[in-house]
Amino acid sequence: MTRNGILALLVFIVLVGALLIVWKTSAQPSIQQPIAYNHKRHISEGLACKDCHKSALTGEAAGRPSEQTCRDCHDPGELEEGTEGKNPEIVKLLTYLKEKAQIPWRRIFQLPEHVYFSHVRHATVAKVACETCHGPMAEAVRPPSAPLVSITMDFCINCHVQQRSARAGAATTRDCNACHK
Amino acid sequence: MPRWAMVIDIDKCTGCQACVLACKAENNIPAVSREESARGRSISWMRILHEVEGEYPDVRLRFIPRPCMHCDNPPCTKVCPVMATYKDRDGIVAQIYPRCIGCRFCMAACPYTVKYFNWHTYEMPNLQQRMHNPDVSVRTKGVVEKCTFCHHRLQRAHDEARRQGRPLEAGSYTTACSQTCPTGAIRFGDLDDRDSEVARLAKSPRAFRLLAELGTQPKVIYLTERDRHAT
Amino acid sequence: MRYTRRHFLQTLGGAGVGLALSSFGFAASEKPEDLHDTWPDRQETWSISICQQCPGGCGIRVRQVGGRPVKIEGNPDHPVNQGRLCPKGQSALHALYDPDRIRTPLLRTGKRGAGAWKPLGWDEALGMLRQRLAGLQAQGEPHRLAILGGQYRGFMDPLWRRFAHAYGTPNYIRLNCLQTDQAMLAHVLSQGAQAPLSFDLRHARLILSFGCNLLETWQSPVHVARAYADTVSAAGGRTARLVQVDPRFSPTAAKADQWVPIEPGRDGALALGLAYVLIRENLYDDQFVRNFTFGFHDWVDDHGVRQRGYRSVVLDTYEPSHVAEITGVPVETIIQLAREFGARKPALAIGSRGVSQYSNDNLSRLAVHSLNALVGNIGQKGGVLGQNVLPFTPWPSFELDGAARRGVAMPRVDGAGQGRYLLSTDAFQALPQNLKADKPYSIDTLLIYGTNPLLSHPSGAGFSGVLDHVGFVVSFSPYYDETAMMADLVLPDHTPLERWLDDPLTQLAGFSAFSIAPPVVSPLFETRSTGDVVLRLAAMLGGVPALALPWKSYEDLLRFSARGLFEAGFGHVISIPEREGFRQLLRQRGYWRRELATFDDFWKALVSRGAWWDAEENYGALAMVLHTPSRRYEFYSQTLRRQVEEEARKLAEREKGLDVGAAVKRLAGELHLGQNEQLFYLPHYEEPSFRGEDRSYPLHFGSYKLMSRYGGRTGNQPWLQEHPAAFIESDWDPWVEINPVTARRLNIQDGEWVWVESSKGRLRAKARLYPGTRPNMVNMATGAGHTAMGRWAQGVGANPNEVILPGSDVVRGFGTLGETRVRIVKL
Repeated sequence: MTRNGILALLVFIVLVGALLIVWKTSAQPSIQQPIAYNHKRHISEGLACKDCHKSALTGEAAGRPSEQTCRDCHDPGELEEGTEGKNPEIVKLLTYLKEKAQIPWRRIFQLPEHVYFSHVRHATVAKVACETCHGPMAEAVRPPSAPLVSITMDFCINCHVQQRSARAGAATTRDCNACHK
Repeated sequence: MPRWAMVIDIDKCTGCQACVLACKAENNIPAVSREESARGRSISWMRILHEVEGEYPDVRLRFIPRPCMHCDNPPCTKVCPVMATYKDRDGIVAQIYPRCIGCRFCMAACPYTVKYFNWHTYEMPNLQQRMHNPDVSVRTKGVVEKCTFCHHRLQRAHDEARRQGRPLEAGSYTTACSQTCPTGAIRFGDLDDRDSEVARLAKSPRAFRLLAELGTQPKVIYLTERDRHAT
Repeated sequence: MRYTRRHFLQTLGGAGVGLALSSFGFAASEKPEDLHDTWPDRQETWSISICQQCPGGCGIRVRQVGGRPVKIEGNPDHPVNQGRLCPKGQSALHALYDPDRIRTPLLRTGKRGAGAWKPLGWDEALGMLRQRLAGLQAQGEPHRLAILGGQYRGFMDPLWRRFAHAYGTPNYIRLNCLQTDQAMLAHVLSQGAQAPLSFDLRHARLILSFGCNLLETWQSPVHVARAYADTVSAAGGRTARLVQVDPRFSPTAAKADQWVPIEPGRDGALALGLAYVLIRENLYDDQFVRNFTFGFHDWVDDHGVRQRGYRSVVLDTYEPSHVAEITGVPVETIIQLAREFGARKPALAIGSRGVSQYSNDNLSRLAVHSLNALVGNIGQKGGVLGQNVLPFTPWPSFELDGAARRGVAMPRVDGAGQGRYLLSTDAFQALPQNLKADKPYSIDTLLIYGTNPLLSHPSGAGFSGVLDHVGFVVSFSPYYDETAMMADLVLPDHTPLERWLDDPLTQLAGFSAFSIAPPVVSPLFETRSTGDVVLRLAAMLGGVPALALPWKSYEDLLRFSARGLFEAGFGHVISIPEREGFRQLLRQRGYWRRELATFDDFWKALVSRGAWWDAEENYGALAMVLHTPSRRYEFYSQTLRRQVEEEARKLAEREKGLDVGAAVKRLAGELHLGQNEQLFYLPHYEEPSFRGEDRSYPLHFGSYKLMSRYGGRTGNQPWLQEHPAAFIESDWDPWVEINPVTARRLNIQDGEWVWVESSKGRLRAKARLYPGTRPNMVNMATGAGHTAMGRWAQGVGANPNEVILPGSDVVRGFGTLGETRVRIVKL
């Protein structure tokens, strides 16, 4: 192999390595959902967040809506009548329901594994609005490909500090152990 | 504010290690390899210390389960340069893993040797990762960990109480070790609740605290064993 | 199959490359599952099940998050463990999530034991086995099928038994170290027990345990621990006393109120020494002895022969100073124990695993049990109780066809039920040499379920050698254990949480219970419940097996059988303590009320709450516990006499020049009943037969079970491997316990590696200086030293069976484990 050849190979290896590092450390790639779910449409039909994210006000996690929840309003039997003229996204949904398959929703709002975040504490006890952390999800006509609000520890702490000064003596905690698990 | 505390009756402890295993399962504690184990690096938040005395046939054997003492005056927190370990509002000595820089000062300071260092990232096979308790984080290489009094159970008990709009009830929160102990040697509760079992047992004439002379004020209280071989 | 990550990296050419790759997440053999990639369901659910880590029968609840089992807790409503669990129970998820599980049926492709396999589909695998079995049937040789079963309880036993019978083979052989689902032979001989008797530990005020590791491995150690804790009063004093007789200072001995160190194998002599004092000092229950026992006083039998009774034998032979010489227990202790046993009522004597280690096993157990009869503690509160036979719906009857009838009439290949194994129901011990000699005939197909004799039996190595004499070996193991490695076909069972489980409870407190549990998770791999496989096989074979086993699935079988519980007119599905308390109140007033109106509701409740039980304790029901020819407790066992004499007559018929009297004597010798005709059928003491002479092998070798291990079956569970014991410094490495004085004499330091050698072989272990070891003994824990079974078991620890020379065991047909003598040699 020539000197240049070796050099080229080395450059190539370094480049590939660098690419790998960038790929490994880069921010989450944009997330595509299996169905282009329209939040706004559902909200305008009179549904509230908690109607589908069933434990948003009562549990630790808000919860991925189960297929049964979709089925409450969408009937896969409609597929029998043909798919023409139907919203193709709804057809996708009905197909999932018909095949009794789990819809491979992907999660966009993710917290690090060491964080304990309780919806019931925030949404019910402290009455924090969903939008505070999730942004204008109710306005979204298609699934966002990234979180609408960037949730960092600063974001949490800022809110906790403000709440604490706003409601002197209130229970808003700044205890590390309250949120770290 | 409650003061969470544990009372361990040495008389009832049979050294079965149910607590040790319950703790591991609850808190995602890895089995370090055989080689690491031989180097004294196995991690066991709850450990049964044993004492053997005498010569055959006059032998005594004593088991002392040893979790973190959750001292009211903890020596470990004072030496932490980054506030990764501190006493939280519930009196539990917390260990905040993302803050920990792995200096191990706290390990040296703890007279009860309850702290453990992650020398490696202990990878489990995929299949075993499925049994991870999602309520407890998996620690990475280079951080110190220890018994949390199953603090995540307290977080959940609080939430459950909040959801139902009532105060935290006595008995709604217990540790994994205490829950499983076959003889009921390990009791858990609120020391400030005068009606609680732990408060009552803590006043027993048999009650003592390990290395109390150091002034650490442990919240794990032991009950001595009675002299069982006197006939 | 054992292609670990390390191998992978090594083949890539060194740890450096591996490290670099793994930091990019490319060490792909075990890339962590990315849970964040999907949106996992975090729903928490709880399901009930039964712990299968040992045959204790504890009820469990499994916590699942998003359908994945993540933690096991005790079931608080279950009568056995009341919400508590032992370390094995806490570790049980490792059994489900063992990455080295067998994932599909396998057909051997290489040499036996080489580990070369071809995965098969279930239809193909079952078809293969069916063809083989149908072929044997067609040849008129169904008896050449043998089924080897292990230690398990519940309907799997009658299922296999019925399958074997309907197919036409007498060879359903169980390998039992502890017979938890059979009545103890001593109870059969003295009381005519038909089902295991139970011990009312909770109410006894004195428990005298002869080598029974009550707090570690006896039945459900959790149940015993609860009973033990119940007797500790708030002030720390105890309302009951536990006395442990054991050469080794075990954790149970440490927690007992008194430990009585004894020479190994001498328990029977001590029991009879206590009997001497009880009789001499008139501390026994004269009324019970007079009204409910047989053979206490001398008597003249039907033939006009004067027979000696228990009393005169004991008074003539077991004077305390003599017993002290045999046992090494001081005279004062013997007298103190006897006086206490006579005075503290109810007092309970238990002899089980500890005494089973020696060839005088049955005599020792008879001697120990005779103490219960002396103080009248049979069928009493705090005593030895009978249990109600569970009222299951009986299975439909069926008729054997001609070939099957001829098959089941053949002698068993292990020789159980005749000659030396006259008193044994199973005699695995005899199997290796019989298979080797094709005696009484050769075995064509061997099915192995729920046992791993290659590890757990002292003649394991010999057994593996004789498998060449078996045409086809089928294993049902879910893991690549030592025995499965030798199979030709593997039909992997589910692990417990993936299948239907059932457990009839035995030998605990007086209540009777039946636990049941549906699968907690869907199977992770292509495995099948062996119960279902046996039923499927029967259906595929057609004919009598199909008629005898008409159920489609094991679930169907359980549902069919459980109907009887619903119709019984007593007992309840277990419930929360509040409701149980109310039921108890009603019961005391003589009421019983049906809780669930239909069987469907009953079944639903049963499988969601986990057990049915009848809390009624059978106090005072002597009729239930005494089924002997005399309808009394027999100090002098007429049952034993009749069995021995019958067999002797057969023997005399077969052998010319042998009269019945001589045959009885010979048989008695083989059955370890001694030489003295007058004593054959009475509890008495015979010397254990130790192997290895004193000079070369000066130390007794004792083996025991750890709380953290049940045989070898938990070897693939890394937490338990990491923390085997708390009473001694221990980790993954094997250790041998040596008395510090003995060690000093041998110049051995604590933690030093040594050889343990017997005339059979040797093993390497770390010396642990433990003052609880008798100076003339060394002790080792069993259940380690796997040569297979996955990454956490293979090559870890040492197997005591490497050095144990099993003595002849005429009770369990298993082998006596405590009669080997060894020496310790520095490395």
